[in-house]
Amino acid sequence: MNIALEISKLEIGYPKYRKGAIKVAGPIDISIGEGELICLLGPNGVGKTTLLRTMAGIQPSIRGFISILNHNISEISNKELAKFLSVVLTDRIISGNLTVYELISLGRTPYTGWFGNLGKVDKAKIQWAIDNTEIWHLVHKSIHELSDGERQKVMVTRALAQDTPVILLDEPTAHLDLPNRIDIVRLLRNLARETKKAIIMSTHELDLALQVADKIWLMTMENHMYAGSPEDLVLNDIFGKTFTKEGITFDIKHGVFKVIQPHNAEIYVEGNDVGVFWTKRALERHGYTVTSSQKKPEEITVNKEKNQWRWNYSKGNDAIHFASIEELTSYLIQKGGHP
Amino acid sequence: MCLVFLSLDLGLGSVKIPPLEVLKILIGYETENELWNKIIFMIRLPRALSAILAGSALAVAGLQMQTLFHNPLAGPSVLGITAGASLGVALVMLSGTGIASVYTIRQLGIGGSWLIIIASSLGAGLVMSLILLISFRLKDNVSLLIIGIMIGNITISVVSIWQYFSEPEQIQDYLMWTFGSLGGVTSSQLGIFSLVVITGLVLAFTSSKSLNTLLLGENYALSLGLNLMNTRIFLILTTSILAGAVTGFCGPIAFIGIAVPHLARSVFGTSDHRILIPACLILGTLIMLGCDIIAQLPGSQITLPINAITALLGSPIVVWVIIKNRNLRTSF
Repeated sequence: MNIALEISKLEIGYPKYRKGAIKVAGPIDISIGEGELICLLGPNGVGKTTLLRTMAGIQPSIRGFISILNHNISEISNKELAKFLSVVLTDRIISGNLTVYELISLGRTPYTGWFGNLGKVDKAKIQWAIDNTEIWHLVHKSIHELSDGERQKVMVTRALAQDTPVILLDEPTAHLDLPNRIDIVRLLRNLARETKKAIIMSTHELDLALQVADKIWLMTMENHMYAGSPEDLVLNDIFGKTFTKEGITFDIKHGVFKVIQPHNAEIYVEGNDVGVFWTKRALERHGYTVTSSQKKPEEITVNKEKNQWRWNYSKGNDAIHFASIEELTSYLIQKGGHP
Repeated sequence: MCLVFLSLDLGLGSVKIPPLEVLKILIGYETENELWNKIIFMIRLPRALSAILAGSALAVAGLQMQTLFHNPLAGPSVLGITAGASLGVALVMLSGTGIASVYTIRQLGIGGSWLIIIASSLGAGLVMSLILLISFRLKDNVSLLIIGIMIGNITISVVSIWQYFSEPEQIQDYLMWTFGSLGGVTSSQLGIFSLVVITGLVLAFTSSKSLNTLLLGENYALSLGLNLMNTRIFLILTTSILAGAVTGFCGPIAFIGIAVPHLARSVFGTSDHRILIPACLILGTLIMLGCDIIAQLPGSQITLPINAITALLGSPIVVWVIIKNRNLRTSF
């Protein structure tokens, strides 16, 4: 695999601040290959956006190098850089009167002449970008008519039309609902594979990142940058350590973060698999330690009969039936939770 | 339509000339009325041409400012650019040991005209650079607008203090100038005026692509390879030339700069500056000629100050645009 972008000894921050340079993070040494999708993760305020802005040439670095396809970006002009790297930022487009097509065609700016007229190649590239993101139905709308999800897709299309080997995205899934988040991430995943572009996105969606990223770049508050495949980061417990806070723990078995509940009573649950899973979640939320392997004095059996869920609760000789998890848990709360 | 407005504007006034006769005279037909001929070529045509130049220059200057500041309420008169130009003019008019009124300066001929243009453009450029500097630190549009208005107020008060220590004749001349007048430009000055404005308009037109890129915001513009600093300087330069020239020759004319760009976006339904700049030219011309026609109060002997009419006509347009689109953002 060819290296698309390489960062060496890069220190990011604000080099021209009044009282001297303020370093946000670094030195960073890292690289990305063609066709890779990288998720840049890290707690708030760790410098993800600063790193992306520095890579995009919007912000100067304190020291170190960034090179794209062996071109040092500090040695080429803005105009040249625009042919190597495109961005999707969190900045909102204020000009709502632009049509989607006009917006996408602005992606061709680095290639058009002094007056910005689109040539044959430009139009073909724009069409190619639109075909890739499948937004044909949006092309003639104005920006202010779009939903957040549609707008984000349009911005990705604009970046594609810019036809650069590297695309940077700053939290492209922020403000989107789950289906739209998955849609955008799936789109980026496919674009990286099919167009061989190197795509770097910063995000707070840990679970999505774990599922789709080829590599994760993890910035920590201790000014360290971990890079590797998501699974390695999980197995080496780097993931858990970085994000664990009081009251939250990383469940290494399932790859999800869980809210820690004070466990005070044990209960045994058996029955329908799906039913057991969700009953367990509800009971854990209410402070029970749930087991399905060892019999305990308190027992719950979940079953589905004639499309109707049923919960049987038994303790000693007592046995009660419930028709919903809500009924079950409110009974347990009322009872006091303790055997 | 421009021609219709033009011939109407030429025909109306204290001496009425039928529109058909106006066209005849313009095309070069012999006319029985030698006086009409004189009125048209000596007075009305320079006046109408100044209206066209002022209208298109202010409209394009306003368009550039709105895009540069990402602010739908920006315009030469709103952000204090015109006030800055006034300061420049006041400096020339009210200072000087002798009675250097605008009329005596004009009698200086070509040199005097350049003096006024340069002074008012410098004044405009100064205020504009100041506001731009502040805009680096303030990302908030409304704050920027308020600061622009405050800078405008400061320049106006500096001028007031100056007036306080000036001769009454000077003050009266300056006051007349602030009312705005399209009639004060003589045929000889018209040459300089049109040269400067046309240069400014051509420069503005060549920056269409940069202006379009700026629509996405400065970060995106940077990422698309725009040299932000050069573009800013270029835009300030052209806007100052355009607004400064008009203010120097015709006085501070309000509302054309802010209203016409919105009208152009509304009428042509686009944000593309390659279309908007010519659109502003046409609409600016039309509206300024229209204002001039109204200012001459057809059927009467009086001519109202043009500034009163542009505000009277311009303010409802701005209000209408805001109400129609519910907010200016969607029309910007």
